Amino acid sequence: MTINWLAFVTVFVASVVAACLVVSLFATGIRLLAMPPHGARPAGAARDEEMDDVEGPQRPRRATVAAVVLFVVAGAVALYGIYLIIPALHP
Amino acid sequence: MTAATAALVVLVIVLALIFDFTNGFHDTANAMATPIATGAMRPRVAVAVAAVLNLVGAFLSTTVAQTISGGLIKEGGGGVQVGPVIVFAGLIGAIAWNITTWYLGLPSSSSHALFGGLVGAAIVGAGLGAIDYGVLLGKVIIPAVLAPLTAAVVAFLATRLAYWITRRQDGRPDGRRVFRVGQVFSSSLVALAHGTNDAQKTMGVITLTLIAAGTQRAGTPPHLWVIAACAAAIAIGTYTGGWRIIKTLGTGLTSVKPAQGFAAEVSTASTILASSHLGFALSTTHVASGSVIGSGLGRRGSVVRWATARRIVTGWVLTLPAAAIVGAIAQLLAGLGPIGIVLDTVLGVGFMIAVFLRARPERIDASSLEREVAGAGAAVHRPKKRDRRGAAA
Repeated sequence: MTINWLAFVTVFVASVVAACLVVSLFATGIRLLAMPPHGARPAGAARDEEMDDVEGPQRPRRATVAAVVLFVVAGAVALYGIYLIIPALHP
Repeated sequence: MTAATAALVVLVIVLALIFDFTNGFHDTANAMATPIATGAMRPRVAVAVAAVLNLVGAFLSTTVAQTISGGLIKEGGGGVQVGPVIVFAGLIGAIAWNITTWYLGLPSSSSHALFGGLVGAAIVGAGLGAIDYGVLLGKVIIPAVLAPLTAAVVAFLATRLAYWITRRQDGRPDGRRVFRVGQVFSSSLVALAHGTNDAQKTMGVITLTLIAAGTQRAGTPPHLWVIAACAAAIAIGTYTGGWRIIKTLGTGLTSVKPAQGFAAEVSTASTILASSHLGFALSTTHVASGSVIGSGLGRRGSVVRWATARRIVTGWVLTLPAAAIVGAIAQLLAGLGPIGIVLDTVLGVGFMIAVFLRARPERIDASSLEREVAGAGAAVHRPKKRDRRGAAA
């Protein structure tokens, strides 16, 4: 038996697409949560690159809503992943 | 069934459950090393969550393979009868290697250990011709090379993306701490996928042994008690937490940050789900280790400790032959008859106890890891928002 290269390439492409999709959704959500209010001046303070919280609730309302939508979609993709590993759900 | 066969079957079931337990504590790290390292979950909470999800996962999928070795040994029609003795010897080899790599803190594939043990035992029990070398290459060796590379590339891209999207604008905070919330979910998904994949292996070993012993009809699904026992064994193993391996994967390879950890976990979950769904099985351990390295390469300013990576890869290369050698020796002894089986059991249990005793003085556990994470966090500590406001006022 030789290796099934086509199956491998499929797995590779599917993994890249799925991982990048979920990470993009979640990261964009965070980016929106961190959005400054309209016309605000830069805070400018150098802070921790890795452990920054988002700042307060002054962000535009639309940004909050869009962020929540993105988090939900990311969660839905994860749920689809769970659906895939339960054989009983797709006979 | 004679009393001797019955005793052997019971022994195989006990060993299979011990193997399942080592499988659990070996692989806690795959899901939980990175969220523990970033402080997204406290160590004890993380292993508890992983244990519950492994338990649940074990019940989600109980399709048992047609052969114990996945075609690695030419079983069935015209091939070798993989009887309880070979399975017994193979399990001894697999457990011995899992305990050894745990002691060394190396994440290594439990499936490879099991295959290795069985192959060694089958070669001694039935000759070199018992092994299908094409399957060995195509289903075990090549996937083992491809898995970490695939995961590394996926995680590298995902990490770059996560940082690129959340890069700071106008000197304002980027909110990357929020990735820790995501980590709770992404690592849970990895734990669940692990439960569905790995508990099934032990169920297969027990079910096929029962079939070989004539107490279960061929082609029937595993008994409920087998499913429950395997689920419990892997969950208890996971909860015990292979802290040595968690340490290696969480802090030994590279220091993991929230955005990076999230990207690594999502990559691990995607790769594993894609591979098990599309029929190109990859080892959870190989994928998770590859993801951590890939994410380390993807984050600017992070350092990957290649010496540790080399040790891990050496462990992977040795897993199959080392478990095979122990399995072969166990099978040689078992050839002596009942006295050999007793000798095997005594030596195996003795080895386990010896390693645990040796590991005691340099104990690594939840609290020592928690101190380490807190120590790393102190360097970048930032007071909570209300504390900051209080200080400014």
